Amino acid sequence: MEYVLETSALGKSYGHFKALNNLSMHVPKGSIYGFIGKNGAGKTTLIRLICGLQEPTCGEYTLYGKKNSEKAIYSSRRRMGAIVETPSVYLDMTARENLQQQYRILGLPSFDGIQDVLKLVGLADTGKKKAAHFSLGMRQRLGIAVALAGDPDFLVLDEPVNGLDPQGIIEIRELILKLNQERQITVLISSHILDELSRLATHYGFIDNGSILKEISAQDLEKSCRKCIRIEVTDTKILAPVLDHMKISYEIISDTEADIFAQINVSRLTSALEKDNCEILSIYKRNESLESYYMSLTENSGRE
Amino acid sequence: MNKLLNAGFSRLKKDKIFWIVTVSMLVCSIVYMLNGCRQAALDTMSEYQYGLDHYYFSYSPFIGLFCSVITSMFLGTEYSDGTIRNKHIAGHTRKDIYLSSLILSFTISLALLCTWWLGALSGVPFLGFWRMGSGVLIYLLVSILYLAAFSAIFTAISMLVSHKAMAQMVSVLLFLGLLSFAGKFYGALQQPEFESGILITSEDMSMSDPVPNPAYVTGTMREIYQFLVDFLPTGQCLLMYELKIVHPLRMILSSLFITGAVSFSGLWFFQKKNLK
Repeated sequence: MEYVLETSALGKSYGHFKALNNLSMHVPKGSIYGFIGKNGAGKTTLIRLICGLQEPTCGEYTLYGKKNSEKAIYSSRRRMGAIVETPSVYLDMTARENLQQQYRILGLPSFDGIQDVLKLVGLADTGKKKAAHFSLGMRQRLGIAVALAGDPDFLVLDEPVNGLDPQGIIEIRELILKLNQERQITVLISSHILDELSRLATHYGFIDNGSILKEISAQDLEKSCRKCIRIEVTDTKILAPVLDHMKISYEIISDTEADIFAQINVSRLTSALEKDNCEILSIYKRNESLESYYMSLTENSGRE
Repeated sequence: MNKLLNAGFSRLKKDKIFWIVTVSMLVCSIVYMLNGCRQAALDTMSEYQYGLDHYYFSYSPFIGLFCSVITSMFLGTEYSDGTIRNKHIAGHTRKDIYLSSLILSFTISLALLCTWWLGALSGVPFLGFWRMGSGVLIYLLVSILYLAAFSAIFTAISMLVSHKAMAQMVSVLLFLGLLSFAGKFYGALQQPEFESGILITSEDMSMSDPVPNPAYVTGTMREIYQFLVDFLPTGQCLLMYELKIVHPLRMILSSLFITGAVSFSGLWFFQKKNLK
């Protein structure tokens, strides 16, 4: 598999604090790589490193096959666009002026593509409105437009939907999918809004305490997610010994709810519970979500 | 670096604050010179003979303050709006980013200086040209070079302090601190060697015999004081304002040294800096 970004035992310390610790990750070409971790896990630190805003304390990374210690990394970086934390736009300029400015920074010979980029992010009609008067969603889209200047092959988005309203979240999601599917842009997107990421990502990297816990493709994640049955009964204290007796694995959620991780014979279970005066109130199939996968991953890592 | 300079100059061209300060500078210089001409006309009646020189270099004590404010505002925007990140991500080296900022900062300072020079020429019809002859070229060169030193200092602050308001405050306070520091030494050098008091008796009033002034600085200390005033850009400002430049070469070399040393160390720290 061809990788756009690879890191190897990457580390970054601030004094005694290790923000990144022996981090190794692989972003496949053409993927939407969801970078998942709680606040302070090291997501933004990694993005700052690959954008050249900070230098790693140890380890290395390669961007399009160029190591960070090589001079050629600067030309590799020209193939990427990024938003780190907040959109980097001049607030006293219009959307068009911001893009013209970025085109100059990139040394592009003409401003021909600007209208197309503005159209792509839905800002073609903002006219003379300054970025300072844009809504958060518009600024976020302008940030993406600036990142798209120069037709990058790799887009890095750090928490792009933070603080957006539902409409804004949908717009950004659709834009990212469009960029990936129509322009074949590889996207590295960090977020802790897992539900949102699960609608986008083709690959996941889970980070905790500065280290990658697991990298997995969306397909493999789907396969490894345990299917379960959520059951609601009058009393789970009665349900538990019955399930134990039937040698079925389960997890008690509350006094009345439990998850069962196996195919069950509903008639047999109903009659077994009936003997102890326990009724089944509802029963339905449920897929283990990205959220619970992440939770079990971080819990396991915490125990280790 | 040409791309960064092109982008920087385009932004400068549209920067409202830069144009407001530049126009204010022009108005200030014209008003100041015309007021000077009026004053000179009055003084001529009382036998003082002031020429263009007397008013032309009056920008020196405060131009550094203007530069500190506008440089930190212009360069600080890169941090406050986060746009400095775009330059890194676009593949520009830190050296190029720093040096292009330094060139922009120096250009801003030079533009303000030239604006004053231009506006102050409004005094020529009333006061004639400079009486110091070709010496004026030395004064102009010293001005340009101490502005280069100021630009280097304020660029270093703006590039190393990520918070725009903080960078502005540090720049202004540093300028005022350096001005008062240089003023202290300059004031000490201006003390007369001897002083005499006025004796008032019941019959008449006369001057007492001169006695040595205890505040007069002598020997090595005087040399050190003189060196510091010549060395510091704010000291050079005061000397220029008073038209008392006696060591132009020393001043020129000092400015070049400060510009080089501050820029070199600023760049070194900037290369190590963790940007957010």
